[in-house]
Amino acid sequence: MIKDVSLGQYFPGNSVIHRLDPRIKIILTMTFIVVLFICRGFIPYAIMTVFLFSVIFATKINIRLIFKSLKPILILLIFTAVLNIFYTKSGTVLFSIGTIDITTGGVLTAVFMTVRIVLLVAGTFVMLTYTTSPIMLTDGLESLLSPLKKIKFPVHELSMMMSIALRFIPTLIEETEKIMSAQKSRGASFETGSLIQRAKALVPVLVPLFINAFRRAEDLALAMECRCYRGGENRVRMRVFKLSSLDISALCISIIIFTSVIIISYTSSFGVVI
Amino acid sequence: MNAIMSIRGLSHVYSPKTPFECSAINNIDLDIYPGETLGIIGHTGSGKSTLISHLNGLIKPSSGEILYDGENIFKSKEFTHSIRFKVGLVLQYPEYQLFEETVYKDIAYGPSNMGLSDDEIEQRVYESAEFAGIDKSLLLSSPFELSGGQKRRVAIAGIIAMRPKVLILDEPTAGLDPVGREDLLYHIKKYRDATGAAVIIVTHSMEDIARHADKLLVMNGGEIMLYGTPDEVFSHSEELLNAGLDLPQITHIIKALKARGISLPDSVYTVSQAVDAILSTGGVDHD
Repeated sequence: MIKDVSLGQYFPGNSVIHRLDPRIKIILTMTFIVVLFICRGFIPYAIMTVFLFSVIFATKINIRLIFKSLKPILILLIFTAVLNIFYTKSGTVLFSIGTIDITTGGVLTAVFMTVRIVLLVAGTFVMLTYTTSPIMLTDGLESLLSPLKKIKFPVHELSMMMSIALRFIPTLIEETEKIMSAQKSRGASFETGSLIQRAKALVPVLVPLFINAFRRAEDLALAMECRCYRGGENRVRMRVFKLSSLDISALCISIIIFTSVIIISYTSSFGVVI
Repeated sequence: MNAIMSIRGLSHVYSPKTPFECSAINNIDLDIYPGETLGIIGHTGSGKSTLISHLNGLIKPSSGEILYDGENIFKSKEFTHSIRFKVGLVLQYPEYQLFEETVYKDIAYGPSNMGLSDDEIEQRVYESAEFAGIDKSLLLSSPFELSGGQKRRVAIAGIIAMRPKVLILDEPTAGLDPVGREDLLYHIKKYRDATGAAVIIVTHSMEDIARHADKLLVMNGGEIMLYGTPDEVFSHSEELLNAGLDLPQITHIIKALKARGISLPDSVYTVSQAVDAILSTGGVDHD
C-alpha cells in the first residue's frame, strides 16, 4: 500500500541527531552532498560510508528501515551501474561480451556511482527528513534564507508554502487510500486490465481527490485569515533557534571529517583516482 | 437461521515490524445473520473501522478468516472482487467519493462495474434512488451541487444499487441534523425489510443505535467487550462508561432518577421505554 512508503517520512525520536539544530542539519547535509560529489578514491568513500553509518547508529533508527526506503531508487541504481560498466573505457580490459569490452575503469566507476547515490539518498533521509520534523525543517530553512529578505525575496511566504505542502502530503496519501477503498467497494479494480483501462480506473480517484484538495485549501485559507494571518511582517516565532554546544561540536567534527576527505581525495596516492 | 457471514479468530496488525506496529483488532469471532441490524459501537481507535474493512476484503487479516456463505472471501482474487458486490460497504463521509457528472451516472458506477446491461442498470439506479430517498428530479443534476445530506444519500444509493446481501455503513449519520439522521436510518431499514439483507451500522451515536439495532457489538481495545441485544448491552452501563462510551441520554436520566431512590428497571434506552417505566412506578411523592 502507499502508506508503507517510508520515503521522506519523519520518525519521531530523541536521539542526538534528532536534537540537532535543523539549520546545522541542513548545512551539514548540503556539505555532505557536495563532498560526495567531489571526493574520489577508495579511502574517501570508505570514510563517508563510515560517517553515514555512525550517524544512522546515532539516530537509533532500525537500519533495515533505511535499506527498505532505498528500494524505490533500486531501478535507478541498476540503470546507472549498467550504463557506467558499458560506457566507461579506461584501465585494462577484464573481459569482452561480443564487441563490448568491460574494463576495470568501467566497473570501478559503476561501483563508485552506486555508492555515491546510495550515500546521497540515505544521507539526506537520515540527516534531514527522518530526524527532523517538517515544521523544524521549514523553520530552519526560513532562518537560513532570511538574509534574502533584504532583496525582497518572500522567504517567509515560501517557507509557509513548503510547510503547508509538507503538512498535507500524509493527509493526501490517506485521502487517496480512503477514496481508493471507497471505489474498490463499488467494484473498481486498479490492478487488472490494460494500461489504458488502469489509467481510466484512476478517474474516480483523482476527481474526488482534487475536489477535496481545493476544498481543504479554501478552508485552510479561511482559517488562517480568521486568525489574522497576513504574511511574515512583524511575526515572531514561538521557537527561537539557539546553537547549543551539541550543535557546535557536531559542526566541528563534521567539518574535520569532510576536510580530511577532500584532502585525501586530491593529495594522497591512497585511492585509485578515476 | 444460518449466518450469512462468519468471522473466525480475526486479528489485524498494522505496519508489522516497524516502529509504527499496532495491533488494531484481536481474535474477533462474530456471526452476521440476514435480516438483522447489527450496531457496532466503540471508542475511537477501538478497531471498528478495521473490522468492517475486512468484511468486503479491503484489507487482509493478519490471522483468522472471514466466511461468506461458508466460503473464505480471500480464496481467490476474483472471489474477493465479486464479494464486494454482495457485501456493500459505505465508508465514513462517503459524499467525498462522488466523481461523476450526474447523480445518475454516479449511482450507476457500481452496477456498471458488475457488468450489468444498461436496462438492468437503469432499473437499479431508480430502485436504489428510491431506497435512499433521493428525488427523481435530482438524478440528472451534478452531485457537487447537492447539499451534504443529499450527497450522502447518493453515495449510499451507489452501494445499494449493487443490491448487497450485507450492507455495512460506517458512521452513516455523522454530521447530519436530527431529522436527516432519522430519515436516513428509516430508509436503510426499508432496504433491509424489502430485501432481507443484513445491515451493519457503525456509530458513535447511542441514540441511533438504541432505536434501530437488533443486536449490539461493543468494541474496546480491538476486542469484543459486549455482544447482545440492546437490553443486555445497556444493562452493563458501568462497563460502557468505563470504556469511555456514552449511554443514550434517556438512560442517563433514568440512572439519575435511580440514584435518588426511585426504583426503575436497569435497561431503559429509548424514550418510550422510559415513559412506560416511570408511569409504572405509580408516581413520585412531592413533599
